[in-house]
Amino acid sequence: MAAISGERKRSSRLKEKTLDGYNFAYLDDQTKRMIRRAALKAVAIPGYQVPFGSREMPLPFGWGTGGIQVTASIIGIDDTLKVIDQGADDTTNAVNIRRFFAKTAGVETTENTSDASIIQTRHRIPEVKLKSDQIIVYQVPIPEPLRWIEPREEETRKMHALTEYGVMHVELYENIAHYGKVTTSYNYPVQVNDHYVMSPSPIPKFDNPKMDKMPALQLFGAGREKRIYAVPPYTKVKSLDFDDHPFEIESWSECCALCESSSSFLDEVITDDKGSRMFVCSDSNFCADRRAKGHKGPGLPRKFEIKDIE
Amino acid sequence: MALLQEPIDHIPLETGFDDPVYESQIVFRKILKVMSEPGTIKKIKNNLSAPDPMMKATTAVCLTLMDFQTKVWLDLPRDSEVSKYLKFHTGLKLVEHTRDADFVVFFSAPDEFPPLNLGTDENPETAATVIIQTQSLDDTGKLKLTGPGIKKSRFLNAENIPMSLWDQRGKVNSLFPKGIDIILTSKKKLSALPRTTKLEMIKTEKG
Repeated sequence: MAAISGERKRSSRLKEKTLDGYNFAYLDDQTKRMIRRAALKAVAIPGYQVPFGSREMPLPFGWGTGGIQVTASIIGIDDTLKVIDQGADDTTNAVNIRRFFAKTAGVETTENTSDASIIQTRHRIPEVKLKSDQIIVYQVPIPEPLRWIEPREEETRKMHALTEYGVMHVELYENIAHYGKVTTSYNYPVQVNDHYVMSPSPIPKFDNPKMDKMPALQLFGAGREKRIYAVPPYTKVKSLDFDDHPFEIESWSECCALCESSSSFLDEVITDDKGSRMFVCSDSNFCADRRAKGHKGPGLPRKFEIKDIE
Repeated sequence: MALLQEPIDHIPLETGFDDPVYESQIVFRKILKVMSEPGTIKKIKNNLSAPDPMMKATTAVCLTLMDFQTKVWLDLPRDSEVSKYLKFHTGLKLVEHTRDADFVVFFSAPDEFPPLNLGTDENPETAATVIIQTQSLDDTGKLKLTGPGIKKSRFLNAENIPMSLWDQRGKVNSLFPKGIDIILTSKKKLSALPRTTKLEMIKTEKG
């Protein structure tokens, strides 16, 4: 009897919303349990990469399969999902992943950062401050920050266990010795809760300070490399640096050509073959929001009014 | 597979989740919340009826996290109703020694932990998750919590857990990254103490 009433409950809420013949959120429950157990251990050991049995997904490794598997394991029908790719909601990877979950899990999707309960991201953290109870899921290509310095997994595990990160500092030091400053501009290594050095995924270092003591839970999924790691809310995340060469983020002399923001991460867009360029916000939702509030950047046509195109 | 190895000779009357996919997701999110923000208390609203002495929250956690891949130790005999119930609904592997278990479940808190799997420095995630069922769980004090997932500090009071157990937990977790992660349950309530959480005993005026 219980099984029948449960079936009815589920079908009434889900059937018309989700794709027939597929599991809820694509993954089977056995896989989800395995990923959930890994995610709990990841949360309990902040910054440590927990191995998991990454499954084959209906898109190739490198397209966010780690993030998708994490999202699929945590998402429920009451969630609202936002997916961004390099900050934008309207790029191929973001649109596809958003549709994937709309079809297989029947969840609401949004472009508005504050309305989302889960945000899956490729290579950016939204400009709007994330709140407690939100979860941000990062897609990670190479989870091991020490991999280019030490290729042997056995060794990197020992280095992590003993907080033996001298080589990482040597790498940064060599950078300063060659160029006078640290030239790493994305995937800038961080140390979590004074222990594990972690790859923040290829976000620009502009976003690194946002990870520190973030009220939202941060989960990281690497599908090809089969690792899950996490940073719980309000956890110390420090970008590696030296006393005499403190960590610095990028800055621009321009403002956003569309919304005039001077506090957001800007992308350079080449507009012709004569060297013209403009800078626009990488966070499309943030930019659109500002324009809707009446901010006008220098790149918009002078007499442009919203009513002109209506 | 586990079903083939250990045939089930007894089908319990008590049911599991009405809708395992939907309900286990909701329970998991609550476990994730309390594990990532230690000391917060969440309530399980699922309709569950498990054999005594297993409480609702404990049942929900076990049904959500355990399956044929997990080795579990219970502080109850192998032929107890609870063991049969969990074996039937999850297909878990029951083990004889606590040190072999991925999940160790105490239906009443011990004075001290038996030997547990703490993981290794290189693979700390293999450590045991300990589930302790208590008589009551609230945020009125006694234990002051600090660490990752906690903005400043949080307070927790778990009834019937001897202070000696918290002392032992502190010693074990000083071996970080090795350590044990604890899930506390009481009736419908749920909280957690991952290995990174620092505990401070608050002395009341009565001592």
